[in-house]
Parts: sequence; C-alpha cells; structure tokens
Amino acid sequence: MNVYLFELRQQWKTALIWTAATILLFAFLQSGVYPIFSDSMIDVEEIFRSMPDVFLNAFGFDISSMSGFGEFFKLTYLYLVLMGAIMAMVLSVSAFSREKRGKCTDFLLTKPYSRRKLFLMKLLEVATQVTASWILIFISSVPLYLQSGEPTEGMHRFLLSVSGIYFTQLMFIGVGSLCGIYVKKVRSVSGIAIAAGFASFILTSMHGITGEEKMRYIAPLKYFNPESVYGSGGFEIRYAAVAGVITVACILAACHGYCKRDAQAV
Amino acid sequence: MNILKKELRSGIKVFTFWILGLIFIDFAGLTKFTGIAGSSASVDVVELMGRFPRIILAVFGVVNLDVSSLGGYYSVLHFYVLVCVSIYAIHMGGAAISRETSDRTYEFIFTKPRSRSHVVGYKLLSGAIFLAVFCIIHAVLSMFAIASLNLDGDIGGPIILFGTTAFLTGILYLTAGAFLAAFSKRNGIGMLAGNIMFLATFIIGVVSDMFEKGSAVRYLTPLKYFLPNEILQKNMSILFFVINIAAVGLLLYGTMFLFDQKDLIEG
Repeated sequence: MNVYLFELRQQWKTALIWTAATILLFAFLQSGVYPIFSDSMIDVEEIFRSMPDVFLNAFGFDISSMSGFGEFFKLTYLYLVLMGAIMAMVLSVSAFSREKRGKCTDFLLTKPYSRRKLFLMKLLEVATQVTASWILIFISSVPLYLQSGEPTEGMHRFLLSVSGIYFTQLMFIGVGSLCGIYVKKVRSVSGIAIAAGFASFILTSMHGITGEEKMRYIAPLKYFNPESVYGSGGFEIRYAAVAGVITVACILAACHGYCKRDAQAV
Repeated sequence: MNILKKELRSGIKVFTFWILGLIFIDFAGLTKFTGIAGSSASVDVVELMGRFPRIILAVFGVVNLDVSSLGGYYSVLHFYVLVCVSIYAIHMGGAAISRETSDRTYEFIFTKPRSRSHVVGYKLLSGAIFLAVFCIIHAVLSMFAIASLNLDGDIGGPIILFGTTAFLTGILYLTAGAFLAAFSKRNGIGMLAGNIMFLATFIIGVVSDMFEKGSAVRYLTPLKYFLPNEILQKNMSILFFVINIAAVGLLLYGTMFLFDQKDLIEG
C-alpha cells in the first residue's frame, strides 16, 4: 500500500494538470467552437440538399448526420483522445521508470515486497489516476451536453463516445508500462509520451487520409471510434479486441520485464 | 571537430528510427494516393470542399488545400513529417544541453579546454545536420515515390521548398528546445517545457486554422509559418522567413548566454 500511496503523492499534480487541460480543450471546442460550427453548417446543408442523391452517396455524405453536437464531437475526438493518450503515457512511463530515473532501483527492490507486487501497485496507481481523471471528464461532459440544447435522450451516446477516450487511455497505460520498463535510459518521460502520442496520431490520420481499411488496425486512436457509437450504438468489437490484446500483452510483457530484469547499478 | 564526430556517431541510431518512420509516411501515404482525381467528378469535389465549413477542414488539416490533387494530398502527408521533424528537433535541442548532466558525464566534457558555448554549439550543429539530412531524404523519397508510382502532377519544385521550410521549422524548434533546457534549472523540467511547448503550438495551429482571422495567432506557432498552399505556388512568406531566422538567432544567443552561467548539477 505504501508504494501505491507514494506514487499517488508523486504524480497527482501531473494528473490533475493534464485533466484540467483536457477538460479546458474539451469545453473550448464543444461550447466555444461548436456554435460557430453549427451556424456554418446550416448553409452547407442547404447546398447538400440541392445536390442529387447519387452524388452524395458516392462520397458518403449523410446530410442528417453532419450537424449536431455529437457529430461535432466526432470531429474533435481525435484531438481529445490525443491529449488523453499522452496523459496516460506520461503517468505510466513516469511511474514505471521512477526508480530508474532516480537511480535508486536497489533501494526499492531490497524492500520486503515481491517485484510482482510492486508492479501491480504501480499499475493500480496509474489506473486509479486515469480513472479519476476520466470521472472528472465524464462529469464535465454532462453540462457541456445539456447547455448545447440537444435532446437528453441522445446523451448516452455522447457519454459512451467520451468514454472511448478512457478505454484508449487504458491501452496506453499498458504501452507506457512497457516503455517505462524496457527503455534503458529514460531521459525524458514527456519526450517518450509525446513521441508515442504523436506517432499514434499520425498513424490514425494516415488511416483517415488514405482510406485504407487495413490501416485501421494500426490506428490506435480510432480503436474506440465515436463514429460507430453513433452508427451502431456501440464500439466495434473487432477493434476493441485489438486494443484489449495490446493492453494485456503489454502489461504481461512489462510485468515479466519488471520481475526478471537486472537492477541497474548506479 | 571531435565533438561533432562523436555527436553524429552517437545520434545515428535514433536518426535511423526516425528515418524508418519517415519512409513509412512517405511511401505508405503516397502509394494510397488514388485521389478522388481521375474520376470525372473531381472538379465538383474541389468546389464542394470550398463550401465546407472551415472548422471541419481545420480538424482534418486541409485548410486551403485540395486533397484530390497530388499537391494537396502531399501537403497533408508533409504536415505529418513536419510534426516528426519538430518533435525530433526539440528532443535534440534539449539533449544538447542536458544530456551530459543527466548522464553524469559533464565533468568529463566541460573540463576539456573548450568553452561551454563551443561544446554546445557543435552539439546543436550536429542536430542541425541530422535535421538537414532528414529533410533531404524526405524530399528525395517523395520524388522517388511519385516517380515510381507514376503519379500525375508536377510538384518537384514545391517538394524542394517543402523540404527547405521543414528544415527551417526544425532548427527553430531545435534552438527553442535548447533554450528552454538552458533556461530551466533542472533537466527534467527543461525537456518537459520543450514538449509542452510543442503540444501547445500544435493545438494553437489547429485552432488558428479554424478561424479565418487566425492569422494573428500564426506568429505563435512555427508549424504554420510556411503554409502549404503558398508553397504549392512556389512561394513562401518572406515575413515569416525573416521571423524564423531571427528567432533562431535570438534563441541561439540566449541559449549560449544562459548555458555559460548555468550551474551544472545532476538530475
């Protein structure tokens, strides 16, 4: 429990700042930019209405699904989930490489605690923080939805889409634990987190621009796509499974590494 | 000269990884360019895109671009490369200042008969060389990919200009990363500041794209100094070119000034 509390003390500020930044961006986009967006959509929809159906179908435009609060969230989701992914990476890499960075691995490992228990405590701590942060984001998304004047019965879809960020974060906790443990010298936690976050962002955007369906499997920020929540009412099981497999594989590999690796001499 | 050689040798491994990423973006991206071009409706697409709300275009990173043409499509890919260049540059800039202290080797290098500015200058030079090579490879790869895939569209000139501007943005982030690392007392904080700066400039870039009047915010984000739609017309903003170079000079001077007085401590 001491390890858990210690980690919590070490990084609750980081978690809080990231959560606040994410909520601010979320609020800015959904309540600041959205009204401008929906105004401009009125004109666009008129143009679309005047076009023949064949043309619209060819490009996959659906007039009824272009404006609306949730639709706008689909557009901004990529940037919010990017913030979330980086946050999960920062917390996870930082927790798992803390002793390595402080060059005090031997102090922790000589305590009467099994390595597996240490690993689990750290993992639990990161998961706690990410979950707490998600709860705050989740709660703040309710007033954001309500003030938009959308009908309340559509709210569950919006909230489920927002939760996509959380599930993606869980995956990045796994990836982060792997990086934190296997990267030999962690010089900059934020550097690893930013690199991993933007690599995912680029892969995801590449899927978007190329339109290649196969690339969806390597587009980590789209594993929990709000698009499908609004389409079919839930996440696509196939990609959720990919995310689940990545998470479990990373955590198992990280746990193995943590239990087996030599403690580095100072 | 020895410092430069050593820096280049020790940086080559990381460089190779970045190049692999670059190859992926350039090739995987360009091979998928079937474009909406080729189909007879392509003209309508251009018109359609023009009527889209700017916010949507900004979110997809295609403001003022026609993605159905090779140039517009390439600009989007190039933006991803630019993101890589910037992150890589910030990383190298920060490392030039803080690597020796975080590795506990500063006692060895800074007791050599060379001034601190000399050592850091060469470290930054090696960073600039890596960035230059990265941008050259990016341009060559792109031209090679376009030629081997028989893609239509003459964008050889713009590709060179894209490479050059990516280098300029890169050295700006390189010196900014170094400056922030020299400015902050502790190593971790310096690198953190660099990374936060990048994230902030990235988000400001997207937001400034969303609004027509975003041009005032453009000064704050080097990612938007050289706009792809200008480059495609084989032109770039002289004002932002000057700002870029001036900022590099100032940051370099500031870095040297601060680093000369920096208290070198571990951690």
